[in-house]
Amino acid sequence: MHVIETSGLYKIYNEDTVPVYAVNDISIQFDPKEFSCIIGPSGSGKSTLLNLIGGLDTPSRGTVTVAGKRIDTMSESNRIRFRLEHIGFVFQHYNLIPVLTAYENAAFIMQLQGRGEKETRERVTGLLEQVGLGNRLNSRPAELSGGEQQRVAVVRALASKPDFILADEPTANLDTKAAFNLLDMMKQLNEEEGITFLFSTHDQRVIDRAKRVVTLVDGTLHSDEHRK
Amino acid sequence: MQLIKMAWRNIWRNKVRSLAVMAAVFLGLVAGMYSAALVEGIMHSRFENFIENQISHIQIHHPDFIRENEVFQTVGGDMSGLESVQKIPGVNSATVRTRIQCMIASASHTGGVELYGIRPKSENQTTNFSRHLVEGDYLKGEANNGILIGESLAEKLKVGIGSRIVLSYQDKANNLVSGAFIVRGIFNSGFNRYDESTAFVFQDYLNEYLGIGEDFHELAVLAEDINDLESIRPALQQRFPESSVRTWNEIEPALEIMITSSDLFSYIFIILIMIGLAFGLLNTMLMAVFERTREIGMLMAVGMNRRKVFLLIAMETLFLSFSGAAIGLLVGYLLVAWFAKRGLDLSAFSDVMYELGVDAVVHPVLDPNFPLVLALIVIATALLSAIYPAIKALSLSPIEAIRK
Repeated sequence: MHVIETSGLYKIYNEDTVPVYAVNDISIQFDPKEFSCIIGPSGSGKSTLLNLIGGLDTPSRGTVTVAGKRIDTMSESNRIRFRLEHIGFVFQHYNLIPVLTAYENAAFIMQLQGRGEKETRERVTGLLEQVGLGNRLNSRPAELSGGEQQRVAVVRALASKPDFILADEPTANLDTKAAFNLLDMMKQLNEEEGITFLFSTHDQRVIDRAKRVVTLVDGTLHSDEHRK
Repeated sequence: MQLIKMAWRNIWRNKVRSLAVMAAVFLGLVAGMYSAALVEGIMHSRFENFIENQISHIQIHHPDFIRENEVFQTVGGDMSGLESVQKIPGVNSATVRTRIQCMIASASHTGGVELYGIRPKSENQTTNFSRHLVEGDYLKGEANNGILIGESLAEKLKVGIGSRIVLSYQDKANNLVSGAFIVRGIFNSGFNRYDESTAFVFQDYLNEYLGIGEDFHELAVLAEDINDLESIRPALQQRFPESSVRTWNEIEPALEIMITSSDLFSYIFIILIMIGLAFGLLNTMLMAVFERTREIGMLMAVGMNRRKVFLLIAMETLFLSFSGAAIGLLVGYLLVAWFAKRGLDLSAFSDVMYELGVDAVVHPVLDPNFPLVLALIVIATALLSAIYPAIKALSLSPIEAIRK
């Protein structure tokens, strides 16, 4: 079963006046354990497609099925709940909560889900140690480097064991070393734990590591390259 | 717990701004609490003075005397009537008075006064009047022509202790009668208008001139507890079935209105302060929401529902206001308690206080429920102030918010 499936997907702005096709008739599937990226020039619709897949936006036409459920027809409150249970997000600007420590940030989504304290502590502490932040549990975001913050954001996204992780330009604000470290970490999580990652990116470093590269041009699917 | 922790830490993200709001809440509550207690203290002082010095808790009159004030409109009775009233459960003390309008004249001035014929012993038990004497002595010994007058009346008449003054009044048969009295004491009740229009003489002496025997115009009752008046009233009415029995608020409805409106004034004052603070809180929380647009967008993107976002903003507003309020309530309470014990000396405004019938040293009085009501008002203010910023936060689109 595909973890993500879109069919005849459109996102059209100003439909009644001068229509702008941000996403234009995209039908695509992603399977579990993929390490894929969506690339394309600015304005090609990468982020819009990611938002539609992540249930942050609703399509003008077409369907989005995630983990076997149509999210394009869900109510706003059901989509919020669905995102919490099934999708992990990593953002370009890390978006950690400044008043919480690294541990508290990473545990945030599990706590929102109402998971038990013991389970949360074991899972989050283990993951933070795995990504090399075992000694920074009590540091606030302002005390962490950009790379460390993004690693905390990745742990936050995957701690709750989502069906997949959507990462929008995750390396855009990182220096080369931090970007490579982050990518190595995500690759390792993909290969060892079978976590599905879907990136939107311009970054060649990410593209080089992806097993599948989907290229968008002007909102349409230009190419879909599977690599070995 | 997670939300509570976040909300508490969030209010300290901008310490100066939060401390300024807390200080405003603190000062507003201390000022509001103290001024309310002071007003209540002034009202309490005036009420006590009025009850203790003038009207007591309950009065009994001939039904027409209240309106017509005629000498013959007496309540028939003798000392056995007074003694029977004093034995009614709940009655602390009682006294009878003869009460007439008369002209008072000295060598230099003539004016009108309300003349009370009193029984010195029972009067002093009921009104504790002798403590207000500032010169001379209270009425004592056998009935004689001694008279007690107010300090301001003495100044008007230009008389002192031992001076002779002449009173002119109508007797029971409507004859004009005059009598000479010697000033034995000068009092200051704390209420200027009362002092310049009231005089006291022996009841037996006055009644003889009036020709009304042992009758009286007024029987004043001081209860042990002001809350028991309605239970005392039936026994009094039974003892004097033909007479009018009225409680203090029926005698002086204006006094009750004044006390009720002073409570209302205190609450209006507090609410006005709170409205001012509400705008401060609203502004602070709006700024906090605008500054954290991306963060709030992220919270909604990762799955925090609207109820929790609203709760987060509401809790931040509550913490912000209640941190200042808790200290404000405590300091306000201690301040009121300290002044309640020591009293606030307003003798610099003694003329005004004298006109108002209020003691120059005011002891603020705090209704025990007032801090609780204040706390509830603060909570209501905080929640109302949180609504608009929370709506703003909830109206954010996660996609647009994250991009900012």
